[in-house]
Amino acid sequence: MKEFNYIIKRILQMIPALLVITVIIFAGMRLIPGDPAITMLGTHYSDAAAEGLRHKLGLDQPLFFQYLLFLKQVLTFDFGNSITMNAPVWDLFKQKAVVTLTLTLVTAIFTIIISFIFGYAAGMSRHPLISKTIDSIALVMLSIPEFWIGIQLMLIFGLNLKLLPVGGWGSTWPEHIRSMILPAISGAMGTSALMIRNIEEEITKIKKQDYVDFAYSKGLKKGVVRNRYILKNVMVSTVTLLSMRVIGMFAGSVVIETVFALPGLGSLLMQGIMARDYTLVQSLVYIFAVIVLVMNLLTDISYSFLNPRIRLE
Amino acid sequence: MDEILKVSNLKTVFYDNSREVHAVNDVSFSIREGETFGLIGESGCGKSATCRSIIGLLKENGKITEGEILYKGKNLVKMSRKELEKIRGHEIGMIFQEPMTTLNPVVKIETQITECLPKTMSRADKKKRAEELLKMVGIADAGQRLSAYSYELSGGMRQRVMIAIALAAGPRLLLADEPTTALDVTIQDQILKLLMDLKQELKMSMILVTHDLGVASQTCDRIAVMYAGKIVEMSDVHALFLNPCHPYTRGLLESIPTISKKGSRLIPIEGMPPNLKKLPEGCAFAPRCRFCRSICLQQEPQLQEVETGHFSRCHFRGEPEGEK
Repeated sequence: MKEFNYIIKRILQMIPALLVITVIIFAGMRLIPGDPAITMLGTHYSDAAAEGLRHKLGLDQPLFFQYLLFLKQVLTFDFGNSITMNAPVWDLFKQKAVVTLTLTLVTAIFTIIISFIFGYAAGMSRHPLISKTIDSIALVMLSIPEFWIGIQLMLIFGLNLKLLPVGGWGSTWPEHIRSMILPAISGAMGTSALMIRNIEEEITKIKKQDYVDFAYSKGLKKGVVRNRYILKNVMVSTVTLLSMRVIGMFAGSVVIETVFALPGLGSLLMQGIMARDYTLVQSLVYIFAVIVLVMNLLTDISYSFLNPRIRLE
Repeated sequence: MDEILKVSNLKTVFYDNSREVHAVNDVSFSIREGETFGLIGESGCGKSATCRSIIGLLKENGKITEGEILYKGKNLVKMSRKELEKIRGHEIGMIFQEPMTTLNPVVKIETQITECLPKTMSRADKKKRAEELLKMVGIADAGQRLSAYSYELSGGMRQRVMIAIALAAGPRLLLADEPTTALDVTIQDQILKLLMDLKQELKMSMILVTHDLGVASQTCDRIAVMYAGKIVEMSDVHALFLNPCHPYTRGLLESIPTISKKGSRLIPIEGMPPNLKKLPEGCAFAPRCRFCRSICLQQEPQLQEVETGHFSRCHFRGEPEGEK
């Protein structure tokens, strides 16, 4: 029951946060110089045409009315049509979210595999050479921008070896997955490097704890001690880091999507901003905000399973 | 009575930035079946290092360089990790000083007990046994506590749980490394009594590490006093308290406040224990010794038998003539 109350409380707390977010998004979008009517008309621009278009889009209304309209869209979850793409924002979102979601998922899987293997090896190893090598590589990976890794991978596996597609999304699921491999690796590198260093640090700290010695003194096998005593305690802080980064990936994969020409949410948002597509950008950013808040809540709930000291109250 | 454990010439070294710290320096003693053997001394004198050497759980920078530890005739020093895993818990158990940090914070008490039980037991049997163990260490609502996490228990309760876990696999020898130091005085007594009762009931032998002479006098059959990694005096408990031979032991006894000494000043042992990286020539205690003579600074005394079963590491066999 306490847990249920906690979740309700957290959801109620989202309301003011989201209201503030609507104001920031709305104001931010209007503060960018440029006019959607001018962008849309392009070479067909004339004063009269622009005036007509502004009227059609409701941009000649006072700002306050425009904001209220946005609020209404937000509250009803009916975001209306994109100004420039002539399609409902929600449909555009759903269509592109598949790409970004797949990318995020594959990236997260790569991140988990890479970081646990190397973080575990670096933390458990008794040879300082192994941990120092892994540490240094991680530090280098952390400093290389992901787009550069992306371009190098494209060159090697796409152009030279012709093993994997250079970009694009393909049209069938096997193609989709194949086209995800290089972007996911590029995206996973930075986060993995962070995670490796975190896991290593935690393991080094935790393997000196009394409860680990006590576990050995009970005659437990090395594997049991490592899984149930060391890894389980390492997970507490590692999951925090991972979930924060995964949320970030979903809402901010603009760079990777651009490099690999993936038609995902990042690209959609970029197009919207370039065209000053107020409706599209406002709604997208708002949806991102909701997702981030919900994911944060889910993460907090998952903590209480990993770390019994945390109670949902 | 048979000897259950025999430690001979044990040397344990810790490496601190490639400098050697001789934590345990040529220590020999043996423990008979059913005996409680006290290891006492100041912090850093090698009591805990001796215990950890026995169960093979030295910190990463520690190493046994010499000597042997015979448990029922088998040398623990030469054992592989797999062989040691069979000895630990099942033959030799250990309880630690800090109840607050010795239990796994993210695993239920039940699991921490049942994982020590034989794999052949059924789940239900394990649970039943775990509950029995908790009852045995005096935890009232044992059934409920099984599903608790360590943070939900008080310090004394955790120490009881730790004892229950250490005893789960039925060890014959229990190493108790300052089991009551971190607890309140009232709880200390309860835990100590519990330990002694359990020892009797389960017919175990025990090594009790403590810096509290009062605790040692109440519980131990024989006592070894350690100083700077060496045993300086070893005897049965009565002889040690009635006729302490080594000046260090005397110093320790004189520094205990008692009611009868009320009003008179306590006599402290002046100075600090020596640096284990750079031991002085001669007797390690000489710089602090009230009876120090020139021979003490030049020649290291050997452990000599003063009376039957009573050993002292002093040139003067316990009869130093007057203060210097």
